[in-house]
Formats: sequence, C-alpha cells, structure tokens
Amino acid sequence: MPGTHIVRSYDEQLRRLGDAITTMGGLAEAQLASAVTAVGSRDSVLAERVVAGDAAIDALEAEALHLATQVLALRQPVAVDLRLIVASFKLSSEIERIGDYARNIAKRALVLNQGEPLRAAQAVPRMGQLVARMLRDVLDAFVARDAARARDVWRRDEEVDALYNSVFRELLTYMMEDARSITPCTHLLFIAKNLERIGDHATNMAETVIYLIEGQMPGGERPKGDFTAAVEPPSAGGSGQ
Amino acid sequence: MTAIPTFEPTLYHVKRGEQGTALDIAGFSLWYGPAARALHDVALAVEAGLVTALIGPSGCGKSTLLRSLNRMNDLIDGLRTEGRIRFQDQDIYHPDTDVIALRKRMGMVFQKPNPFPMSIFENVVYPLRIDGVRDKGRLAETAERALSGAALWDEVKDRLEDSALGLSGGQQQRLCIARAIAAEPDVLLMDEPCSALDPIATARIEELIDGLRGRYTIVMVTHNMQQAARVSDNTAFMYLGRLIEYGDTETVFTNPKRPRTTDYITGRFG
Ligand SMILES: Nc1ncnc2c1ncn2[C@@H]1O[C@H](COP(=O)(O)OP(=O)(O)OP(=O)(O)O)[C@@H](O)[C@H]1O
Ligand SMILES: [Mg+2]
Repeated sequence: MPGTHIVRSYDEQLRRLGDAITTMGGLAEAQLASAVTAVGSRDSVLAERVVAGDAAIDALEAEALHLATQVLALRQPVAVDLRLIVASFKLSSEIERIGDYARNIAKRALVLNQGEPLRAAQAVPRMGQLVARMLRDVLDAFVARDAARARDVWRRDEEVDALYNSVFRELLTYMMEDARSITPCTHLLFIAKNLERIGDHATNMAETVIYLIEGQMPGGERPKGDFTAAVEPPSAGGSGQ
Repeated sequence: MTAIPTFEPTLYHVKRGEQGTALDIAGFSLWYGPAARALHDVALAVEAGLVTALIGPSGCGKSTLLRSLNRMNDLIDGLRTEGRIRFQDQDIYHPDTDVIALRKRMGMVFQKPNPFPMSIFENVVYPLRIDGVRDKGRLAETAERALSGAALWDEVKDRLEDSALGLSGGQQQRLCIARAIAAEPDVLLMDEPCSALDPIATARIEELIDGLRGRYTIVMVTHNMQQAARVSDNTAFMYLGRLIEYGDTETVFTNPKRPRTTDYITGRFG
C-alpha cells in the first residue's frame, strides 16, 4: 500500500471506509455460515437470528456509501484513492446482495425445518463451505491488497458452478424418486441457486479487488461451469432421441 | 558520441492528436550555473493541438522547461543547455534559429496577469504594433478576433479605450491570453495562469483553454491537480528536474505507473 497522506485526516477517512467494508464483509460471512448451518442442522433459532441480522449489513452499507461520498466531495481523490472509492461502492453493494441471499436461505431453512429431515439437505453444507471460503478469501485479499489471492478466488467460481450442477442433478433424482419430496427439494434447489449466486458475487468482488490493486479489471473470460440451463426438465425426457 | 535518448511513447499511454507532434524534446538538460543543473535528460513529445499539463512539486523545473521552449532562458547569464528541442522540424537551440521569430510563434501567459499600462485595445494589438502594422481596419479586426478568442469581447467591447489596469484579475488574464493570441502563435505556453484567480475566473480560463484546444498547442504549468485533470489531454509529472511520467491525463490520474507520481497526485509523503 502507498504511504500516508500529508493530511492525516484523509488517511483516517479512508481507513474508516476500508473498515466499514471489511466489517460488512465479516458480517455477511457470519450470516452465510449461520444460514448454511441452520439448513444442515435444522436449527430454526439460528435461522431466525440470520433473518433479523440482515439489517446490520444494510446499515453498514449506508455508512460505507456515506463515507465514500464524503471523501469524493471533500478530497477529490485520484489514482489509488479514487479506485478505493469506486471499489467501495461496488464491494458494498455486492456484500449487501450476499446478505440478502443468506437471509433468503435462512427463511427457507425455517420452512424446511417444519417438515421431515431430508437426506438431500447434506449437499448444501458442502456448497456453503466452498462459497463461504471464497468470501473470506476475497475479504482477506481486500485487506491485504493481495491481487494473487483475489485472482485465486476469481478462478474458483468454476468449482462452485460445477458443484451446483451436481446438486441440481441430485435433487432432480430425489424429486423423481419421491413426489412428496418435490416441495422441500424445490426449497433446497433455491438454496443451492442462492449459494451459486453468492459465488458469483464473491467473484465480482474479486474482480473489484484486482481493479483496486492493479487499476484494471482482470482480462479474459470469467471461468464458467454452470450448464444447468441446458438440462432438460424430466417431463420432457424421451423427445430428444 | 552517445546517442541522445529520445522519447519512447510506447512506454506510456500518450494521447495522440491528429496534427502530429509539435514539440519534440530529447535528452534535454539545463544548467543555471556550473553546479546548478535544473533539468536532467528530459524527453517528451508534445502533441500539436492538444493541452499538455506540466505538474510536479515546487522547484522541480516546470517553469524552466516551459521557458526553454521559447528560449526565454537565454537572457540568464551562465546558462547552458544540452540535448535538443525540435519545433516543427526546426531545432530551437540551433545557432541559426531566429529567436524573435520563434517567440512570435509561441505566445506566453504568466502567473500574474501583466497587462501594459495602456488601453485594452492597445494591449491586444501590441504584437502588431511592434511589427509596424498601422492599418486601422486590420488592428480593429485583430482586436475583436483575439478578444473573442479569449472570451472577453462581450465584456469589454464598449470600453476598448479604457485602461487595461481597470479590469478584474480574471479579465486581465484573459486580456493577456488575447494579446498572446493576437500574434497568431502556434503554441501557447502558460505558467500557472490561474493561480492568482478566484474559482469563477479560473473556470472561465479553463473554459477558454478548452475552446482553444485544436487551434493551438497548449503547454500549461499548474499546481492545481484538479485543473490539470480537468483541462489537459496529456500530463507530464516532473520531479527534481527529471520527467518521471508522461501519459494521457486520464491514466495519470486514475492509474499512474510510477509510485512517485501516485505519492504526488494523491498528496502522500514521497
Ligand atoms: N534564474 C535562475 N537562476 C538560478 N537558478 C534558478 C533560476 N530559476 C530557477 N532556478 C532553479 O531551478 C530549479 C527549477 O526551478 P523552476 O522555477 O523551473 O521550478 P518550478 O517547477 O517552476 O517551481 P514552482 O512550482 O515553484 O514555480 C529550482 O531549483 C530553482 O531554484
Ligand atoms: Mg514555476
């Protein structure tokens, strides 16, 4: 990181902005972990806490926007300082979305916990851990201004997509086997989709961190491994011979 | 004999004009005295028709470089230069160069407006007067064209015979720009043209510079980073008599390549 500003209060403002983003990210990480646990261990108390906890992330987003706007108006930032402002706007909105997905997962956990336990629910924690690690690593990359670590997260999105594909197929199989599982499995499908979306947001964050450090978005195609859009629904089977 | 280091544009993202290079500075060094070297091997290609900002901390050699372009430094005793500055295929420091003719093609505007103690009209047509122009029609025409070009015509057209010293600071600076334009130069050299002006007058000058783009090659020294960012196409950052970074202004202010540039433009300790 570059040295300190001649005007010390400027450093202080930038530090507070960085802290707001990091705290916000840490909260989202905790929310995500709790939501996934609530699904895996059928913990409705925890799920309730996640639903209520999202407001804190929204409040931090508002604070980050306020701090970033203040620096823009008062300091006319340039170069790496300007990129921090732009990155803060982007990172905070990505994290806010991640928080929304975590809350949505927790809400679905509350519904699932009212029914019978499902074997299929075990696929969710695996995916949840993968995505949570991406989020943690991208936040570490942000704090340490480590472009290599951000790039590593950026590449991992493919893994999430691949895992989502397998979860998707697995859930389809359960639903075909037992029609009573269709409603809970649909919830699990949405949970898996939410996790896949969180992976996308963590990947966007990785791009933003690379931009912050290097001044440019990473080049080339983002790795992609989600082919579920090409999977035919089971009822259409037999027509594709 | 060693080759003169020439400016290597691919190292940087310099914005290119449609009119080619106006000033090609290569391996240019300047000494104010035997032990007072003010410029070290400066290499820089100034694009014709564009606005180039020179920035850098106090004493880094911005004014020295600017004054080297029209040989305003010649008057200083003990001054020595090395290297080369080409202006439209002419070597500025060649012994045969006609310095008076050269300066006519490079108008200069200074930090403090310096109108002469005479009427607004006489100030503007001064370059023509010293050329011996007497034709009233031509003088009047030039005055209107130059004052319009300097965005001052509407404010002074009804009082052209009033003393220029009665104008506001901002108006005086635009008058000086009009005077520079009246000589029909190719290049305008400006050394901190807005540093004595309030924000409104500054905005007017910036608007004026924007309007002059394309018709003149403008090289401007400024201490105001935002001003450099707002009005220039390319920015050159100098430090201790050396050119540290030269590139299109957008890149220099969003993603400078050299840490020293970052430190300076973001207001950090070097
Ligand atoms: N006439 C002179 N005789 C001797 N040294 C000079 C002369 N003019 C400038 N210098 C020295 O040359 C160096 C560059 O000065 P210059 O005026 O070009 O700096 P500058 O970048 O324009 O600074 P500022 O932003 O303060 O105007 C300084 O060390 C200055 O002291
Ligand atoms: Mg100067």
